[in-house]
Amino acid sequence: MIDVFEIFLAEKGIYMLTFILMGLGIFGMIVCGNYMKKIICMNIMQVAIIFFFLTLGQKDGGTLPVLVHNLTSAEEYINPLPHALMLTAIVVSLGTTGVALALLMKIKEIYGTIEEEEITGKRWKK
Amino acid sequence: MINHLPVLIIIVPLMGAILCPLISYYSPEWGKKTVIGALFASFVMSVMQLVNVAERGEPVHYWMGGWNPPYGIEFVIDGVNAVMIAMVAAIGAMTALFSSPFEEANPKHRFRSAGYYSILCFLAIGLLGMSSTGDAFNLYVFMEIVSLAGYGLIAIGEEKAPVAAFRYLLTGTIGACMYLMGVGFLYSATGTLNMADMAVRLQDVENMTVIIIAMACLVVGLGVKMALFPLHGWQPAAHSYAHHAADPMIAGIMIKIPAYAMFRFFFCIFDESLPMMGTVHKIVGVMAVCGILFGSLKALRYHKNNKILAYSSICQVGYIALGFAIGNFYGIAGAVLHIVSHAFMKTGLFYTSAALKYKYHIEYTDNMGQVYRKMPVTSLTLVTLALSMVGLPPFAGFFSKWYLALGAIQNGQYFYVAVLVASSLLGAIYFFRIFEKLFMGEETEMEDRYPAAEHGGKELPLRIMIPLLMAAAMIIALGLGNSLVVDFIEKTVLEVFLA
Repeated sequence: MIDVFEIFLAEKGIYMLTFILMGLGIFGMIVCGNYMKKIICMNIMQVAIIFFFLTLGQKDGGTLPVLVHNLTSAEEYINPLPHALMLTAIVVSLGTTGVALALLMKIKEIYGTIEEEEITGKRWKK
Repeated sequence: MINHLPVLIIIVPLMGAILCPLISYYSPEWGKKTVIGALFASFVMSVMQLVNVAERGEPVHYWMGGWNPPYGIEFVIDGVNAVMIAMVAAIGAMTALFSSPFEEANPKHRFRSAGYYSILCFLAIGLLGMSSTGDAFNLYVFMEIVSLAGYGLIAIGEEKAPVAAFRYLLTGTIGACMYLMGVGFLYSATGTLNMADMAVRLQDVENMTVIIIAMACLVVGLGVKMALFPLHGWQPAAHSYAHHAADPMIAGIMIKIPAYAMFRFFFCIFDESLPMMGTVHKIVGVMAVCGILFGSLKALRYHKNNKILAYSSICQVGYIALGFAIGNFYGIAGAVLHIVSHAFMKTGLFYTSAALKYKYHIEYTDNMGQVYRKMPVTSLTLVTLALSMVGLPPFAGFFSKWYLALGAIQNGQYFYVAVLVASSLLGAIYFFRIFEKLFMGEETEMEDRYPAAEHGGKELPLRIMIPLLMAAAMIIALGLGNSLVVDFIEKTVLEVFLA
C-alpha cells in the first residue's frame, strides 16, 4: 500500500500537489480584499512554479551535478538546468515582491488604507 | 564591430541605464543626456543591423560567450525581428527625447529624474532583448525586465496610478508565471530551451497533451502581457494613468513585443501541421474578434483622451491576434505590419495627448475646442495619426488592414472581413468625435503654460515637436513604403510555411 502511494506520488501526485498550490495562490489573489494578502498569495503562486521546475529535474538516486571523478553518465546526477533557471526565477520574484511592497507603501500614503473595498468604494454583493 | 551588433544594441543602453544614476549624482543634466545618447546610439546600431540583415539575406546568429546552441544563449536576428528592434530603438530614443521637458533635470531632486530616465532605458532594454533573443527562458527574463520597468513608470503617473500599477503587477505576474509554466512543459517534452532546437525536437514528441497544455499556458501568459480581450483588465487604467511622457512607450510598444513573441511561438516553434493548430487559431480568432468589437464599443463611451486611446489599443491588439488567427502569409504579413504601424500610431497619438497636457493641461475631449488655432502642428499630427488608425489610405493603418483582409478572403473567412470593416467604422466614430471637438467645439479659457510669444513663435519645445513629427512622418513613410517592409519580412515569414 505504501509502495503504491509512493509511486503515485512520484509519478503524478507531486505535480498535482504543485498545481493545487498554484491554484490556491491564484484563488487567493482573486478572493482576498487586502492588498498585502494578495502579495502573499502571489508569492505562493510563484513558489508553485518553482516547485514545478524542480520536480522536472529530480530523479531517484541522483547526486550533485558537480565534477566528481567517478561520475561517468548523465544517469548518475540530477539535471542542474532547472535549478539554474529557478535561481533566476527566484531573483525575478524577489524583484516583483519588492516593487509590489513599494507600490503598497505609496498606496497607503495616498489612500490611508490597503483594503480594496475602501480604495475603490465598491463592495461585493453578498 | 558588425559581428557584435546584436549584443551591442542591448549593452550600450544597459550601460547608459546603470551609469545614469551615478552621473546624476554630480550632474542631473548629463545623467539625462547619457540615457538619451545611449538610446540614440542603440537606434543607429539597430539601423546598421537592419541593413546588414538585408544585405546578407539570411539570419544573423550571435552566441553569448561563444557557447554554441543549444547549450548557450543565442540571439537570432532575422527579417522580422530586425524590423522590431529598429522600431523599439527608434521609439525608445524618441520617447527619451520627448520626456526631457516633462522631467526637467532638477538639482534639488536629482534622483527623481535619474530614476525616471534609468527606468525608461530599462524598459527599452527589455523590449530590445525580448525581440532579439532566440532562447525561451531568456525571453522570460527580458519580459520581467519590461514588466518591472513598466510598473515603475506607471506608478509615478497620476494620483490613481499606484493602484493601477499594483493591479497590473498582480495580473502581469500571473501572466509571466503562465508563460514560465508553458516553457516548463515544453522543456519537459523536448529537453531544450533554444527556440530553433525546440522546433526541431517537437516534431518527434508524441505526447500531444503536453503540447496542448503548453500552448494554453502560452496563450494565457502572452495574452495577459499583450492585453488580448478577456485578459485586458489591467490595461485601460494602466495606460491612462501612467506617467505622461513615458505613456507613449508603454502604450505603443510594451503590448506589441509580447505579440511578436506569440508569433515566434505559434509559427516558428509549433509546427503548422500539428492537428490542434486549427483549434488554437479558432480560439485566438474568437478572442481577437471579441476584443476588436469590445475595444471599439468601449472607446465610444469615454471623453478622456487617454481612456479612448487605451480602449482603442485593445481593439488594435485584436487586429494583430486576428492576423495570427488567419494564419496564412497575408495574415502574418498584415499582423507584423500592424505591430510596426500601430506602434508608431499609438506612440504618436499619446505624444499628442501628452503635448496637449503639457501646454494647456487638456485631458478631456470637451476642452479641446478650437485648439487647432493655437497648436496647428500638434493638431495636424493628431489628424494624420487618427486617420491612419481609422484606416484611410495612404497611411500605414490602411495597408495592414488591407493585408489582413486579403488573408481572410484567401482563407474564405468573410466574417473576419466584416469585423474589420465594422471596427474601422466604429473607429471612425470615436476619432471623428475628437476632430469635431478640435475644429468645431467651443473655445474654453485655458492657462497657456508655454506661451508662443515668449519662445520665438514655437507652439511647443523642439524636444516635443521632433518626436511628434517623426511619428507622423513614419506613418506616411510606412504607408507609402509598405511593400518594402512586406518584401523585407517575406523571406522569413515564407520560411515558416516551407519548414
